[in-house]
Amino acid sequence: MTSDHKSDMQADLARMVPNLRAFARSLCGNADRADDLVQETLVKAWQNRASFAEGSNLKAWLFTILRNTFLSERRKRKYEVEDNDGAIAASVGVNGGQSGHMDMLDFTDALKTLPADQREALILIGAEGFAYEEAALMCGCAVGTIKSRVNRARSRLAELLKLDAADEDDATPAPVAKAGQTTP
Amino acid sequence: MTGNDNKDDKDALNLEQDKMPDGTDSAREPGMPLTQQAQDAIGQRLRRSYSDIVAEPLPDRFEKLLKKLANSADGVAGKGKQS
Repeated sequence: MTSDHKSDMQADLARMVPNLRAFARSLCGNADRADDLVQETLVKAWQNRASFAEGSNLKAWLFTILRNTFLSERRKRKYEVEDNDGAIAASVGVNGGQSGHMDMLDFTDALKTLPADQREALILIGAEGFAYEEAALMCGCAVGTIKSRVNRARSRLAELLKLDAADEDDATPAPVAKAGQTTP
Repeated sequence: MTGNDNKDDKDALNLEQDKMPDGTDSAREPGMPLTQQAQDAIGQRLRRSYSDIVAEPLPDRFEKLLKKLANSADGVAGKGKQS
């Protein structure tokens, strides 16, 4: 391995840090933990750089490392993400019906209430712009599963943010549709 | 690592939909179809909130780390392994 090669990799990794941080934060919801996760990812990536197939998607490779690191850590710590999600979901559910319009903060809160797998799929597809096939590879599931997670994430967000209510009508909040209710 | 007695109906719905055969386009049928307008609005807010994080100034720990990694002989930072 030449030193040129090395510094290329170093520069490539450096370029990916901002996106790794954003993805990590969407996974664990905590900025400090997210940065620790990015740090671990960079170390692992560097140690395993020989196994990265040149010309393939570096970002997808790094995201996969980060994701696996996060998951195995969570398994170790039995970190109860779902509990947090539930608590936020409950609070958003209570207040959600009252405010006429939602701002960015509300969007971020709404995003946090999604089940982790849906939020992840939505971020990968909608924010990072990965192809469904790439996201499926990264998450180790079928393309259809990613699609359905993204769709469910969007539906849930639309519901939480009242985007489905005909128009932005502050005066008369539409009745809150429950996720479980489907109209025939 | 499941734990099916999660919250309430909302999750029951999700679990049901998770069972759909893979690869099909059955993903088209979430609780309610979204208007294009709603989809666009979500996409826009999602990208905005995400790119806000991407644009945050970086703590210098990452640059330091990458330099350290590049300088270590075998890439194992801090372990001082050398063959």
